[in-house]
Amino acid sequence: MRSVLTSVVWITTILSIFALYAIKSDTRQLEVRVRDMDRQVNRTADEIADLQARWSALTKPERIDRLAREHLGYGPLAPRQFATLDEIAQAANEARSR
Amino acid sequence: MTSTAQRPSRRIRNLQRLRTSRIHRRRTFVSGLIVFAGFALVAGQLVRHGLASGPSISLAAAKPLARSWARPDITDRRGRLLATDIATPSLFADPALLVDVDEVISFLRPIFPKLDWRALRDRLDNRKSRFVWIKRGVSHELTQRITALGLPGLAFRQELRRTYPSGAATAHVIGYVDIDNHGKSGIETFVQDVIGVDATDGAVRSKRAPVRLTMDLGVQHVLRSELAAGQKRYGARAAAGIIMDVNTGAVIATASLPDFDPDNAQQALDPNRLDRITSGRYELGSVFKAVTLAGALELGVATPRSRFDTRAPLKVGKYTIAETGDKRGMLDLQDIFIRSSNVGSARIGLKMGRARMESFFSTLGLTDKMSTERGPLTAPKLPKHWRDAHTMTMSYGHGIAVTPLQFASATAALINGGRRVYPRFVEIAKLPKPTQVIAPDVSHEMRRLFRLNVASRDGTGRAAAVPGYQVGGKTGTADQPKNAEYADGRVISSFVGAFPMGEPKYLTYILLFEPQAAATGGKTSAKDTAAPLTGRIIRRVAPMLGIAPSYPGGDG
Repeated sequence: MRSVLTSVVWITTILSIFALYAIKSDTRQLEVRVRDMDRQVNRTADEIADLQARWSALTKPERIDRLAREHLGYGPLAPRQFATLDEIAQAANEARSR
Repeated sequence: MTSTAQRPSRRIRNLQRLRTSRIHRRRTFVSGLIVFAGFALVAGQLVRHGLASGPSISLAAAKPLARSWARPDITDRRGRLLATDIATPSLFADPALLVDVDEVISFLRPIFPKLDWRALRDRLDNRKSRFVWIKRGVSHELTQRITALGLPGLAFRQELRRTYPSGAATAHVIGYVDIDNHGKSGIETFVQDVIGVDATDGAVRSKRAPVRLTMDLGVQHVLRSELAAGQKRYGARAAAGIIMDVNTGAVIATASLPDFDPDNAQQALDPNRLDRITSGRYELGSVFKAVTLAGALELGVATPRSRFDTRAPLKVGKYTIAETGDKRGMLDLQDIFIRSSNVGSARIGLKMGRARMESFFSTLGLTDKMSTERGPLTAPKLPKHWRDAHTMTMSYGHGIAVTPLQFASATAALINGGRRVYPRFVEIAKLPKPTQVIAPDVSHEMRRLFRLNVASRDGTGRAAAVPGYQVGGKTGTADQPKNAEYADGRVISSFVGAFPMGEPKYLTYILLFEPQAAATGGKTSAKDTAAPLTGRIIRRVAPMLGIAPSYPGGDG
């Protein structure tokens, strides 16, 4: 009876050691994956920050203003170019009645 | 005999067998114990390693070689990016691993010709040193070229570098940082000291929320480009301007030309490039009459109908204050304001007296040091010994020098219903409760005078009119002292305005420094320079600020 119990303990211990080793090994692999993913996230965040900075530089009002003048012939908006929807409707009716 | 002889020997054998069996059992037990202890040790080690976090070796390798700061982004009030951190490679050397210092220098010198190679050679020759910066912030193209050289002992390290996508447009407000990303001026100092930055040994970006400014990048561009055009048109040495929310003190745009490139912060040290809005203090001239008149109304010194004699010149010490042309006569407050009468203002100042004038100026924050998130403004300059002569000259803006931002915030209180405002550059969740410093009816009267000065045919601010926006304001052409004397032709022409005057929302204060007679046909005064420039700016920014034009009676 005692020898059976001893054998069970031994087998359980050995199995536990193998299981622990397997878990440890898996954990290490997962840690490596997490580190890789962290690196990838940081790299992507850096790339996004870089692109946002480039986008902001490309769309800064100074540049858009220059491009609109040079290539489209646009100028700044004048107050007379603003009207309420009612005013537009009224102008449309007047044009139609004419 | 035999049986008796055998008996003891059997007993002895039995005893010996018993002893042997005990010894075997003990040995087995000890052996088992040793084997168990061995397995327990292995199992214990496995458990320990399983529970232990992070290998200590990598921590040792990550020992800080150079520390910099991760900073939060800065955006305008619409969320447009004004400043951000970018991960950039920086080149360093490990002198202990360099094979031939001369060879390394011969390869790198053509790539970085501006580096101080003599000093760098001394540092690279020190083989005990394990870390020497060669160039911080290297472009990706150069990084590839250097990597292709394959020189041992050279390596790159990712670092955070501050970038300003809006360039010079917001340079004065945002300020700049040093090589370690440490804030050195403007909002960058505020971010460093108040918002908070994070020390980093690598290129880990800040996770803090962006700092949102009150500025609008579109309005800022219009202000800056119109100031540049005005500076050129009028041949001015410099130009500056502010657009401010009259109710909250939020600075929507501010520019001071010439400005500087934030990527070349050395330029900021040039005195000609200082921010004249916050760092320069000036005698601003007749724009101060608005403050004097508001004080007279508020303190009961005068009513809108009170008349003052401007026919005879006023003697002030060795100076004489005199009027010309249509400014002579018995003028009421309205006439004094729109004709910009110095004698009339001086008489009001004299009636008010030094004590009440000083107290009123103080109420508006014109005599005390003022601070914003960007740091302290240059302190006002007041007379050392305040005499009646000063009271008279200060009534029309001479003898007192303040920063334009301080003056703009005082003027805001005159027209916003009488509430004191404090200029600010950073959006905040909840504004402090405003203090009433002027009676609402006095503020209402000031609005009427401001509007009249632009809308009436006699007003000095006529050129600032913009159809649909009911602009109001006051001109100021101030002679500038040079070596304690006022020099001819050396003036600051400025216009403080607001729109729409029915319920003012925004204040503008535009200044031209030393416009040239040659460029303006001799018309350097504010009514011919700063006022029309203000009109051009309001015409463009009012729609951007969401104010719809209205034409009550086809007004202008």
